[in-house]
Amino acid sequence: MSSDELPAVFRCAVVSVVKHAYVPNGVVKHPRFDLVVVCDDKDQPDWVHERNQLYADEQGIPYVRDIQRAIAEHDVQVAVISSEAERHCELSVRCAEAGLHVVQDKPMSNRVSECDRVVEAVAENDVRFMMWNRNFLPALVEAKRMIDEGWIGRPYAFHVDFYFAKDSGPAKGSRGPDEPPIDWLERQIEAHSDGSDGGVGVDPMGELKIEGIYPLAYIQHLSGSRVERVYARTTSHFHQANSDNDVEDLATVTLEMEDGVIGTLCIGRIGAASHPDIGEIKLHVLGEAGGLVISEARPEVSVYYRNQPQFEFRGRRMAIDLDYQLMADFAAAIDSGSGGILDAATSRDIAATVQAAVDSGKSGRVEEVG
Amino acid sequence: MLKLGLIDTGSTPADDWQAAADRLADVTIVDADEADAVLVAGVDRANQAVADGRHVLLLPGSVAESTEAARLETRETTVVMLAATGRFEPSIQEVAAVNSSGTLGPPGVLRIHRWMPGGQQVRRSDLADLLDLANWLFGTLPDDVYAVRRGESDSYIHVHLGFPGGGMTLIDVATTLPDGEDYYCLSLIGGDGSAYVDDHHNMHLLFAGGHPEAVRAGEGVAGLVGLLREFSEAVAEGRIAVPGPADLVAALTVAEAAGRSIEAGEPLRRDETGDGYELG
Repeated sequence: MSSDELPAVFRCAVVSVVKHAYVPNGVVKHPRFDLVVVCDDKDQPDWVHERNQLYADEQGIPYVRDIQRAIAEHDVQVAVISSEAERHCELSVRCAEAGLHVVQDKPMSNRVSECDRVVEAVAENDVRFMMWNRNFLPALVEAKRMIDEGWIGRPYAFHVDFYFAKDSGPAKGSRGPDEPPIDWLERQIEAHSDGSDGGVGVDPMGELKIEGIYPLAYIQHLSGSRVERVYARTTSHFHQANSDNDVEDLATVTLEMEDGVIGTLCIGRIGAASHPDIGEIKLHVLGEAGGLVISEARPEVSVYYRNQPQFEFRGRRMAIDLDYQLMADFAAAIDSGSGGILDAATSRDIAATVQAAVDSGKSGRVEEVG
Repeated sequence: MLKLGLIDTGSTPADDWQAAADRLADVTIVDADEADAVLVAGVDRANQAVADGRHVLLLPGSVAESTEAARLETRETTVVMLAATGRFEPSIQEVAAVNSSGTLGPPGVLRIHRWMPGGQQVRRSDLADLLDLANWLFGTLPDDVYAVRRGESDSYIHVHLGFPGGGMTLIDVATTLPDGEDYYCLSLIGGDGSAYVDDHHNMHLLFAGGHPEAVRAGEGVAGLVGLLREFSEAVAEGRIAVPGPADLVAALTVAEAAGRSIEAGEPLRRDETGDGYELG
């Protein structure tokens, strides 16, 4: 399709929306994107259909239990995928093969081989792909600007703390000796009400897989360097569900990158009591001529009042333009045929870094990124 | 009254030691030949002071090898303590207090950034100071040590530690800041809570045109006061002072393991003796 033939407004299909709906809600923050249908496969379990139907009703658009039919009947150009993690790539491949551009929720997948399929499908069908990310948060935009303007010289070390101060079910050690282990999917379905269901799916996932794409995308975005070797330590330190399912809720990662660049990551779901807001999310960047210390939450406004709920955030982020800028970037990628802020190949490399970190956490060795 | 002589002062001005002593009723700074305790650099001077029957405050940056630190002599009648100011900074004392009381739950991740100007090689003793904090807060030596440096220079070192029970530590030390002030940040994530010591949080703003300058809200000489208080109390009570020579040996042992890890490009694990590290 030539740029003259591109529509002024892209019609989007929400292809499964079983998690928190921030991705499709973010997509429509840009006036060039419109949600026209929610769809999914007929053979999905009832809880999936219920959530899809609920979102369709909220948006006032139809829910179609047949993805191919929804695409054909609703003149769709873009797929917005927010299913269980293990279905992400299969749905992305099918949509790319149907000629749709794809916006996909994180994680890209829980298997790197699935990510490879997406990279291939996107290339073969000449469509654009964007992993949802946070690279356009105001603090990240400022950090990128300062680095690009040369304030700290050539950057050589990137450190990210990415702690989410959220609970995730019962605390570690709270399960009685006669109680069964927590079922991962049941726990994630239950967690939908408080938005802590980022790991929804049958396969248990630790924080590296659930949230790792965000801080690793920061490092990739700011450095432009590919990770080559990874050393990680992982543990389930906080939550019974993670302990029962042998997936980490706390991890530290050392990244050795191209051109001698070094990166590190601290990541964890550290419990609501550990921070008055979402968590301490910071970037420390060292360059040959200086350093940068960035708080990802800023700008923010602090609000305190009598009878304030215990876990209501005291610091409120503001002036967030993330959704619009992501979709503006995606629209530009479609218009120009360029890769965009976080394309399939880069996302795949990040997924491979995550897998290397998980593997290193288990092996105790340095792992090469495949 | 403990009479302390300042034979060496390291990077801390003598005036600061005097100011700290002024705040304590039982410590006074005197000429070295009148002192019953001395602040010294190096193992030989420390051992000489012990031989002379004097109590010793040893500047930790003056010892670079664990084998050298192991030569430190101690006697029942003398106290040998490290002048490790890091442990006694008020901010670090707060973190240590909520850690040791169990308020934060079991420690999970300790992260320290220490950035300095100068461009020189990161000294093993600089690293050991920070590793001592990690050993102290986790209450043991790490099981696993991995480290990387930037290129062939040693102006930047990053160390990654794994502690028994799943605890972890990341420490990075840089000397690549431009001329001016340094930066310090420490966070401790526990099972039930967390603590943050961060220069980023403790900055005033000075507007004098262009971007405002960040001016650190410093902790004054309170760290030295705490250090001298522990030293004088240990002397008065005839007990071991903390941190002592064993802590220095431990920190330098981990720093040496970090150096070996850099050369090997692989992590080292604690060996069977529990006192050393080997490629594993």
